[in-house]
Amino acid sequence: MPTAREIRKRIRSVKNIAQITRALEAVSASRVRVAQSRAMSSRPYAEKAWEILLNIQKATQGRALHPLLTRRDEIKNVMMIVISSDRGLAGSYNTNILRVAERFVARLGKPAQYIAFGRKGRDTLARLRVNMVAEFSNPANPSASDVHPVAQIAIEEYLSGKVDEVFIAYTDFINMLSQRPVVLSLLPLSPYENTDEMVAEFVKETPKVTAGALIYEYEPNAAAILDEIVPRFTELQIYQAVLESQASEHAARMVAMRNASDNAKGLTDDLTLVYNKARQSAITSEILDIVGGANALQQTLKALAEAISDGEVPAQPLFAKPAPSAAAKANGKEDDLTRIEGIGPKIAAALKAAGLHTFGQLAQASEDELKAAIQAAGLRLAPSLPTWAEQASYAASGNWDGLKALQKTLVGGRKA
Amino acid sequence: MPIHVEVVTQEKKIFDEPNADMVIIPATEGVMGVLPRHAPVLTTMAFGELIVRKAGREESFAIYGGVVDIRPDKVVVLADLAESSYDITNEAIEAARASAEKLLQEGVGPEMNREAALALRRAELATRLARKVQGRVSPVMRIVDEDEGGKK
Repeated sequence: MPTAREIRKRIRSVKNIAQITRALEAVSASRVRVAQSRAMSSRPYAEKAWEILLNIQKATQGRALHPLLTRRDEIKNVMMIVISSDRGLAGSYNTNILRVAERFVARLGKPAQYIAFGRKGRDTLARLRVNMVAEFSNPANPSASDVHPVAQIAIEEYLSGKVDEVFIAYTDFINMLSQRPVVLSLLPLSPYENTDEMVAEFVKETPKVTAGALIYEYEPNAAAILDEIVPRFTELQIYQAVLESQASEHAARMVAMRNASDNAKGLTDDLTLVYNKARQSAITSEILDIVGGANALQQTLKALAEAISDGEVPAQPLFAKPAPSAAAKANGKEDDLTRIEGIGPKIAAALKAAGLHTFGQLAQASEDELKAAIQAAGLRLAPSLPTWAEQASYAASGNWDGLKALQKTLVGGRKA
Repeated sequence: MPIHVEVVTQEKKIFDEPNADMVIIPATEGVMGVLPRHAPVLTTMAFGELIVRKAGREESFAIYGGVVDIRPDKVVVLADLAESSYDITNEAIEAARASAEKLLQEGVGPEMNREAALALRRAELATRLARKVQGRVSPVMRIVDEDEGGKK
């Protein structure tokens, strides 16, 4: 199990990641609204233009009026424009659109040229070693003029006969939670039909419009109107695909980032739990050490007590006191040396060990003797040592009042 | 019977008036006045002024080419580029004109020259319309509320 400190470090880094993903989520949430409204606002023109195209087609009864409108009988080569994002961190957004584009082309079974719009798609297509004729980056706020070169290449290649169909793969924005990768038939500009079910599944239906109810007059003529509207409409379809894709990209990123934030929160909670467990187990093991030590000591004592009560071992103090010296025993007299201010029980024991048992002996002793006695017992010298002899002489003569009077003038046994 | 007038560009719908009385369209074959119950016509537009009239009020747009779909009860203007004449500012015109003239003088290829010439023509039209709406002696009431600034 990792230590509490390591876990704390991980919790901190997970929290930092959560902060970043939350910020990205907020940014995407605001961008998706902008992109969405732009995609919506370009729809009226697209619908109108499509309606006019269908109208003209119907009125002319399929007579070839504009080369971009006529479907060719034999399809030899196709072109696929793939719209992806420039940045990652958008979940499966880029993977999905590339997979759909790839499968669609595989299904058609025709040699394909690719145009990559968006850096992520370009990278993947380059890795797949497909025939990529052009690549563009996906600008943050595209205008109709940004897609102009894409339309130009598509139209040129189509008119020159290098390709016979042009498709555009992009991600349709349905709502915040669902985006659908689709393939739109861009050129020729006529309703796309394919009997292959797999292919049809990817293809986006063209908008349903009411057409043919009115018989129009064309001024100056139908061809002039088509010349005006067909290139514009081609460009617009790409532009709209880009806008839809951007709305989808931001929505996908928002969802991906929200999931990441949620995961980070879950991970933080889990790690906090592990951290608390680690902290508690550290405390427990510390307590166990202390209790174990105490138990071991107690058991030793118990064993000893039992041995004594069984009479196996003579009763003996566990911590043996030094035996009183023979001289003191002979005198049969021992004074309570702790009555001297500055002498505690330990120093008193040390002094007795050195043969100083009475106040009288203490009063006679020199400072050096006292120092030697204390150091012999391994104790630290007391600062009150110089006054002991004076105090002891009062005590030895039984002059307790004198001793008290003296002690009042002392501070901690020292002369003030 | 009123006419429903819509002006849309590739980027957005800039005008929508369901109850107009008359529309004057700068068609390539000449300026057309369209009243209700007009025969269905599809026509291209040149550079020019699009005027929408409604109960003595008037709205003016600078149209830079496009297509218009005329029906008995509806007129849909699909403009390549369009802006409300009231939104044109002299600074914007001057900036556009200066950059176009600079491009022309530098003379970088036929493609750029065409672009520049087009920009110059746009600037000329914008100037004419801006002068027209700003220099009126008795101001004509607009259809769109002044507060909204004609932006829809």
